[in-house]
Amino acid sequence: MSGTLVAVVCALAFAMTVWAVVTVALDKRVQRPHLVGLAVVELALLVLVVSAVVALVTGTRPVELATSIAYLVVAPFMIPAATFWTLADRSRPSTLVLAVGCFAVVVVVYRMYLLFEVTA
Amino acid sequence: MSERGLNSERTQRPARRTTGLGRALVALYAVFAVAAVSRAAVQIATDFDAAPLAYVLSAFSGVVYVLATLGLARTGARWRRVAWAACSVELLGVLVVGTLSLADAQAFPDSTVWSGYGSGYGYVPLVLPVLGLVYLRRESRRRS
Repeated sequence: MSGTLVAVVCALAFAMTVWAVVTVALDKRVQRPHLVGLAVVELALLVLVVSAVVALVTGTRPVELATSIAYLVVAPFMIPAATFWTLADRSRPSTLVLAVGCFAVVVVVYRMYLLFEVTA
Repeated sequence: MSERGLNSERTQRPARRTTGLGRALVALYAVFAVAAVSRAAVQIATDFDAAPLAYVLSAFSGVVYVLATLGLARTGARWRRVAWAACSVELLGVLVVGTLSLADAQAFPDSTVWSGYGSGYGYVPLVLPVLGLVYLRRESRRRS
């Protein structure tokens, strides 16, 4: 798993987390630019997941294989879920759901990276 | 799009707990519910014999998180009681397991969500039940 790609995805997801928190602090609502930002994070995440799947298929075997696969399956759904959840109720704190979701992506991607580092 | 104008939340706040700050809390709980349950599932499925106590605790904490998530997300007196119970058990669990895992590392060779007071998860497991209880208290006050 490419460390650079992991760093890029983490940085993007973290930037999105900060943006969501700032949006709450300024008492603004989620708008189109936020959705574009989320799409960018999701796209980068998908590239990472695909590259990890390719690595798995071509013979990389993380020691914790089941966990690694679980992470790969769950990861792509986090941002869409958080986005729909946020948009379903456009109150001020509901944007915090986006912050939670994006930060969870940072953690999950980092953990994924660690999992793929330890190979058999 | 002027959301502020469209949003009438300020004037007619619905009684649902899935709005406002509770929503963010439910999201946080949902993340931990998924994390704890899947971790326990993997641990128990792959090598249960390595650390049965820790893995059973993992599963238990997962169930508690799921109950807390549901209790916070749903409305009604029964779900509120579930939320109270789950958050309390969670706080107790993280304190007891956290202390035990430091005092008797032998019994916990593999970590659970609650080991080391949740240090493996940025101490969020320690903060989460406190936030949950504070939130529930505030809600019950607003209601009465």
